[in-house]
Amino acid sequence: MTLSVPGGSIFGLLGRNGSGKSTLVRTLVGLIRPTRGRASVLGYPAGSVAARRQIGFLPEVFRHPDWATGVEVLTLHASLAELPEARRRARIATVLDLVGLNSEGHRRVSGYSKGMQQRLGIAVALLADPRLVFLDEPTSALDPVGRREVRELLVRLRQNGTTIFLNSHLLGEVEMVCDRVGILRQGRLVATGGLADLLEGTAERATILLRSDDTAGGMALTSVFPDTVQHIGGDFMRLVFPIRSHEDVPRAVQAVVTAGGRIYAVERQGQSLEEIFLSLVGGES
Amino acid sequence: MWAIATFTFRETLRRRLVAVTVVLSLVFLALFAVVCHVSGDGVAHHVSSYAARPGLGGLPGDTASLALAAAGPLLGMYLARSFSGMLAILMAAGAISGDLETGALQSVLVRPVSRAGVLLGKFCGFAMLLVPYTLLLQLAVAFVARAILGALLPDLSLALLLLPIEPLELLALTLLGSTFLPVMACGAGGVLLFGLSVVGGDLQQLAILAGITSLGRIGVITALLAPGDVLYREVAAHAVSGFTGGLVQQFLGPLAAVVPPSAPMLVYAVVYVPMLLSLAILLFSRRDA
Repeated sequence: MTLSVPGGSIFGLLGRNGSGKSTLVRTLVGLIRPTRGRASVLGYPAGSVAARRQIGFLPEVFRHPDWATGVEVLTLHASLAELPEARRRARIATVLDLVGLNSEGHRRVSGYSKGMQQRLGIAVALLADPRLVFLDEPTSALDPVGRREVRELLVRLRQNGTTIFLNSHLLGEVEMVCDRVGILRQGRLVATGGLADLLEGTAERATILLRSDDTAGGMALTSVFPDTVQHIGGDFMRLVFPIRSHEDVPRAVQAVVTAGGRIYAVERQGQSLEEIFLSLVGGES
Repeated sequence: MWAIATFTFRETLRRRLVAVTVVLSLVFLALFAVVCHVSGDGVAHHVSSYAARPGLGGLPGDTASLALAAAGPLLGMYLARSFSGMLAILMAAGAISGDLETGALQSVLVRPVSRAGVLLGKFCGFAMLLVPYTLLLQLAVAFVARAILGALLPDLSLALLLLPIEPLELLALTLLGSTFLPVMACGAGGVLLFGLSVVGGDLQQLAILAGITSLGRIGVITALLAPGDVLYREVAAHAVSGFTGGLVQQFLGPLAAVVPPSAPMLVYAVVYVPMLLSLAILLFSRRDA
């Protein structure tokens, strides 16, 4: 497969269990040798020392030595990542602060909760200030507050120019932070592109809310969008019409307002990422 | 590599491995001291009476004392080997496969460090504990034998040079196993090979003493698999090299070295460590993580 992820963006890789997401990531970071073909990352062969100098990685399943403190784990990784000694202490403090562990750095990992261990894993991945970070299910062990903090962290990293490759089952999370997504099915990429484009391409309908007695507004909308369906309930009626582009929505609003109608709400309904995902991989066995 | 080595060494200290090992080693030394104390007089009497029997070459009284002088420290060294050997195996059994199974190694392997560096770092980290431990234990055994039996190996420096190589061999062997075997299989395999090496060495000596040369080849085969026993036999051969005739060897039994190990086998025992480490690096480098 050829997969292009623009620098400074967040890419979300989706797929069912066993579709090959983790295998792909582990190949790209050099933990697995490709059985066929070649893999390259940032212009270097995947797994080469040059590539590994510029990446960070949070595995899906990992364990840091429980006998060591968070700072000791980070110090080991700082040394392995060839960080200059003069920078190590400051960088360790920075990443601990980034993941909210600054007051816990000198505690042993054995005393960390699952969420704290996950944060330490993220700190390890970010330690060498990598150009590209692979995060395999980074929020799997976190509570809702922790998940939100990680999402905010990812957005901050993107603002600083870091490229993030995110493997996640949490579609809502992907929808919230990713610029581009790829959907993997049985080891093959079945869809890839900008998240906005993917959702835009599947937008189906919009709803305008008018008073039930606003016949002028209703007729104006039906004249522009003949397939409009009317649902009357109490004082208001909902007019649902199909849309094919962004511009259909302002066209509809303008038609109603020009005819003297008063609009109380406009709602656009497209397929969610979950619906797109299920339609692409739902039949996978 | 040194970052991994120092981290591994600190792990052995923090996991209380050293504390447990020191305590149990002290118990062993105390037991050895008791054995030396209780059996010292009895053994001396046995040697003297054995020497006085006709037709066995006869040992003068001084020689009997020398035999005893060799037997005490050799017994201690022979037993202490098992401590160092078991420690080496237990430390390294999960070093690669165990850390991969738990996900402890993946974040390390994506750093710009070679697999060879990771494996050698672990080897050095364990060796930093294992070699001083072996030296101290063997010195302590020698000290106890000297203090209670008045016995000291004639060539203690040779023993201190050769005996730490055996746990290093077992360490390299276990690390090799750890690159492709699960933790339990690796540990069990290491212990069994170590046992095979010791038993093979003992059988070889007893077979030669009994004149069954074909059985003596057992020791050669086991030594090719795990040649640590060869190093002990070299020390034992030096310890009794001043004696003539087979009486002292018969007295020492499985502790003996009736025929000193050949030079090629000694060289093999030494190059075994880098040879196995090279193989381990090769397998680890090809393994998916």
